[in-house]
Amino acid sequence: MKYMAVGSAMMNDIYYADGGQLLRQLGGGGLYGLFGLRLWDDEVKFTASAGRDFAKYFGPWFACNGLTTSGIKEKLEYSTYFKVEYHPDGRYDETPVDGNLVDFGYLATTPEELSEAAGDDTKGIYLIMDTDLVRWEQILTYKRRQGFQIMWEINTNRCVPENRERIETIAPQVEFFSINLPETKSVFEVNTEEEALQALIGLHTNVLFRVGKKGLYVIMDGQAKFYPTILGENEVDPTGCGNSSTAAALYAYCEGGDRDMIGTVANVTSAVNVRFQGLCPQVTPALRERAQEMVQHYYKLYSK
Amino acid sequence: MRFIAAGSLIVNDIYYADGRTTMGQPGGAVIYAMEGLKFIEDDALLVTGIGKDFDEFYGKWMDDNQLSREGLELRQDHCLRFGLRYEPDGRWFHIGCTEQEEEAQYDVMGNHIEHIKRFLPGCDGFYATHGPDRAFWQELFDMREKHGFKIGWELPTQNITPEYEQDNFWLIKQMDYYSVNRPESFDLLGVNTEEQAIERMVQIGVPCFYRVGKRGAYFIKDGVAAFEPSVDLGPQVDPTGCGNCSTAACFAAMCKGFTVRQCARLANIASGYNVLQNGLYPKFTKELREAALEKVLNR
Repeated sequence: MKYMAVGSAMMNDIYYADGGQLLRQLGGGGLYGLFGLRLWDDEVKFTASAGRDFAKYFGPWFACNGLTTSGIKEKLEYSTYFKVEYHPDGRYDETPVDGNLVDFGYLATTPEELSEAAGDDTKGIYLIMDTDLVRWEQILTYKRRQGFQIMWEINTNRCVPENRERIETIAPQVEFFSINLPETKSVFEVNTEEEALQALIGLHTNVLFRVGKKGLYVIMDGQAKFYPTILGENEVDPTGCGNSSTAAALYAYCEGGDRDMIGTVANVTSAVNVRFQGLCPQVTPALRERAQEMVQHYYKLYSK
Repeated sequence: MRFIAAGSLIVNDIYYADGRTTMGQPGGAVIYAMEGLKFIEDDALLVTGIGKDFDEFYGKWMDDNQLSREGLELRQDHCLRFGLRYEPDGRWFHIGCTEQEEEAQYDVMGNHIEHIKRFLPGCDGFYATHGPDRAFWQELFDMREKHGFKIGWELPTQNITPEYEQDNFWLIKQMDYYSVNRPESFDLLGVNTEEQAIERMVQIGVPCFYRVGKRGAYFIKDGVAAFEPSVDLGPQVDPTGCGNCSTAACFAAMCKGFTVRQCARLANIASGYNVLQNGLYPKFTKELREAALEKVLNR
């Protein structure tokens, strides 16, 4: 497989600020990242650890998108299941659904599992990962041996000042690092978007810096360029926009795209993702064609 | 898109749980379904048998909403007329005639397949409340194969019994959409809670509009269940037909490609208009429809 998404698969019960609910929604950053790759390429794979009920909840979506489940390791009886409650300002809280065990530590894909799943032919891996230096040493060893490129999207709960040094150590060793504005402010203890931007430029690596509804920056070679969000006709649900756009940026980078192409593909992916309630049910040829048309159109605009 | 609603018109003498009454109210599941379809799409056709007194009860509403009479078939002197009693929990029952008398009248005035078939070419969505009559529905499935329309089914309450269990499930699995309310779901699915009902509906895998009374409704499709609370548009006068109206609205919204949340929301708004007066909302205009869509799409 050319591309791989590594992360979590989970069920979500989403409670919106206006009283609406969306229950049994497939989610997890890993799945949205998988969608972000699948939108552009058929040779994509998901690597994750899950519960025995994975096939029941996730199987139909994998089947209808032509995706292999060979990268799924059954480690627990039940898959992860969260209640996500949105606040009017867009923030959200996640709590485990009663009775379900949440064991992200146990369910985390190990470096060995990642290496085994990547094999010799994987070009790029979208990886949602913490800042553990031991695991990262192992992953980076496999990376050098097997030649895959990494887009690292940091776990939100690792974005604390105590991990700044770890981030500064790890990020320059991967091809791309992805983080959003609140996370950056937290890590670097800054207050403004400009200060956050400068802090990320100071990492001396490629960064996808997501600034919410406004858009994103692509930082490469010490320079940052802003790409405003593509406003769509029917914006339904922002869940997963960060993950999917990040994974799509990896795809564009690995396929040799320049900075503008990376920003364009990321934003188009986000614009497609936001049209769907939760995870896009199916990537159809028509959907991909539409996305490609959008890339052609917006790349010209962004490049001016 | 063209939608068709087929079923029986019934003029109701209504006895509410709080003691109020309303006599001679134009009703029947199909006319409230028309209300729901009309809320989503202008091109909606009523297909049903009528009595000579049709215009007395329904004429003004048909004219005000610019509805074609093409699908109407004159069958007897009078439209069906039944008493309708509401229980405090929202359940309702026809009163004033025996079950056999009621069935005999439905045989005359209800869905006649040969009449319906004339209107199916060119139809995008066919919606009906009709019993679990396999022969009737098989003809519709055959027509669907030929003409490509979607079929939506609101299960009649009186047929959600153990006697019809096999027929109901055989039919549901062949539908493009079906709907039940909370008490019906417990009887149909053999469960005790909404959560259990939703689990079963997800397993069945056919899109289901699941009405849970005053609280609102779920729309279950593609493995997810979207809940939308009821929409309060003003003082609530008469809930008659809310289920039919919202069910048809959700079906039409689904056919038009709205998301599960949007479908449920639009259905609730349609129902919100229905409850504001005795009987049907007087006039669904393009402006009303567009305002509701704007509200739903830009949340």
